[in-house]
Amino acid sequence: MIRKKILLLGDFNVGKTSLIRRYIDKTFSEKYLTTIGVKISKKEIELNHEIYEMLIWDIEGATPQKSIPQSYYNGASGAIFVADISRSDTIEGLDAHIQTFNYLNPDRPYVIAYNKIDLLNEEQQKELPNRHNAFFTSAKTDTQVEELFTHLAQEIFND
Amino acid sequence: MSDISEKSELEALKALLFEDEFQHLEKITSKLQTLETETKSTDEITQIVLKHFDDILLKKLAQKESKTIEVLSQYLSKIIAKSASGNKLELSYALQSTIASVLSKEVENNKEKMIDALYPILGGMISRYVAQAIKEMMDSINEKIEDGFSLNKYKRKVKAKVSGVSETELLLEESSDATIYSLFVIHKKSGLLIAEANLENKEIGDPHMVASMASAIKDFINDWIQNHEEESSVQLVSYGKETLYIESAGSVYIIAFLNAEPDYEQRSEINTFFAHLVKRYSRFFQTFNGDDSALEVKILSQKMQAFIDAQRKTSPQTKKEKKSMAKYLVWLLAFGALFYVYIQVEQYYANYRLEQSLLQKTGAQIRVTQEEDTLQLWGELSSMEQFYTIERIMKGKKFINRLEMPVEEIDHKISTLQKEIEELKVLYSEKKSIKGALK
Ligand SMILES: Nc1nc2c(ncn2[C@@H]2O[C@H](COP(=O)(O)OP(=O)(O)OP(=O)(O)O)[C@@H](O)[C@H]2O)c(=O)[nH]1
Ligand SMILES: [Mg+2]
Repeated sequence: MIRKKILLLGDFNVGKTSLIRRYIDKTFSEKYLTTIGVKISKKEIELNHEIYEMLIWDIEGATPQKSIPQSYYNGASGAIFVADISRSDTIEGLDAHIQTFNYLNPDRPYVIAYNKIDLLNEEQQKELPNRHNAFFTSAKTDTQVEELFTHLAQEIFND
Repeated sequence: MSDISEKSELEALKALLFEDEFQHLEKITSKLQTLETETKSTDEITQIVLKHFDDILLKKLAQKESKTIEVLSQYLSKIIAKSASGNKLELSYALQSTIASVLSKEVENNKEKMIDALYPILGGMISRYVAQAIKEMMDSINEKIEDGFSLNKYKRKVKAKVSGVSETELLLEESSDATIYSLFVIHKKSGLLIAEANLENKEIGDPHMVASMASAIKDFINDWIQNHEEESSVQLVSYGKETLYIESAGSVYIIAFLNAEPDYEQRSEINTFFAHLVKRYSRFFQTFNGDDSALEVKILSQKMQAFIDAQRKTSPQTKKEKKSMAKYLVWLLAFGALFYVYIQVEQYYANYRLEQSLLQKTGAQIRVTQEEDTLQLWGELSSMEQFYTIERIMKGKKFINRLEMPVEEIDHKISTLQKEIEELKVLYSEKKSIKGALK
């Protein structure tokens, strides 16, 4: 079987761990338990009648004062960058994460999750940022979560 | 001496500090099979990390201060609201008892944040306690070394001289007879498991998760150590009797899971095997792409399995016999004993050196044992060239060859020999016919 390492990156409290729980366990919790270090999960995925496995590294949220050990980035075949759509600082923070990732893993695919889309009202939902490979997700209401992971998996494994 | 014992102290401290990691790995292994324990694992990770890395956590606390304060103030305001109706003294009593109960409840329910908050106080106490305990242990061991008159003492002294390992460390090692029950080869960059082998019935559940976890922990620890010490990597991670021996080599980590700390001899045995693997497969390791159906993975796993299974043959009993006999001798004749030690150590190191030079020159892991005045060579060769090299090295020594070689290799050699003979025949007949023509 072919296995690949995938990263989840983004500021703290944006919903990285929640997205994985939604994707793998099909559950959601309002409780916020910050991740310390790394939490690893795995998920099999079938693409074109082949089974692949993703080892997903859910990495503790970065803060302006503390960056993530670079070694966590190493050897990743793809990444999901997560921002909280209701907190603009986490959206602005995306580029720094993407830059580090691109630097350490050149030419690897990635997707962006603007998470917590359920917190926006209809009016606000009309003015969403427009970006390549972006998904507007909600771990709470199960919106676009499956699509997010599947899209990345396709880019990685159908290479 | 202080230099040496400081260094061993450091080693011992490391071993103690990472005790829980292994326990944690095991827990995760069994639990993650069901993939339901996300919250719990996070709790556990938090506890483990918090307990041990005070510097990092102090920093973390400082950065996420607003979060911590938010949580704490939430409870404090409830408590104060409850008791504010009474007078000041009453309030403070009320606060004391309520805080105690809130604390214990919250530590139960909301471990991360409470530990976050309490850590700065507890962390220092814990590490001071651990450091003290280690110091006492090392002191008592050093005392033993200084006071004890025993044969082992001299044996140790010589061994320490020859091997450059401190006496204290050797003393620590003398009690161990470790068995490897699992071997992992992990791709360093991605943390993906390349190959594994296990003793029968000792399989590690969900090895791929364990491999990633181990590599994340190793990344984390190394990152931490780089910021705190000069030493560049951690090799031994112990929990109780369970030990992970981690070797970082080229593009892989190789991990041996053991039931006790390996002693010096065993460590060099493991290292030799690891070196062999790395030498053989370094190209494959470098280009590993996550696909474990590759042929190399199969061969590699078989080799690792053979290494694990071979442990049973070298039973620990013979080692023990040697030791107790040595002990017995010391009471009989100190001088004779010293002489015996000298021979033992000499012999051991002669054989050890021979093994090392065989490894260097052939790349094969060969064991050298001694029976009377004859050496015996054990191990597996992969080519005739290795065999010829060994013959050259052993020239002039009395030895029995107990080496094994795959049948294909011998077949191959025979068929090339046959080919050579055929060619020679052709040459010969050509020469003959030319000669005939000239006549
Ligand atoms: N409304 C809403 N809340 C969400 C959503 N996803 C996560 N949350 C909440 O946001 C908080 C943080 O979620 P986590 O998944 O723990 O965030 P994280 O990015 O893993 O945080 P760190 O581990 O600290 O880096 C939790 O209280 C979640 O319940 C979402 O889609 N909608
Ligand atoms: Mg998290």
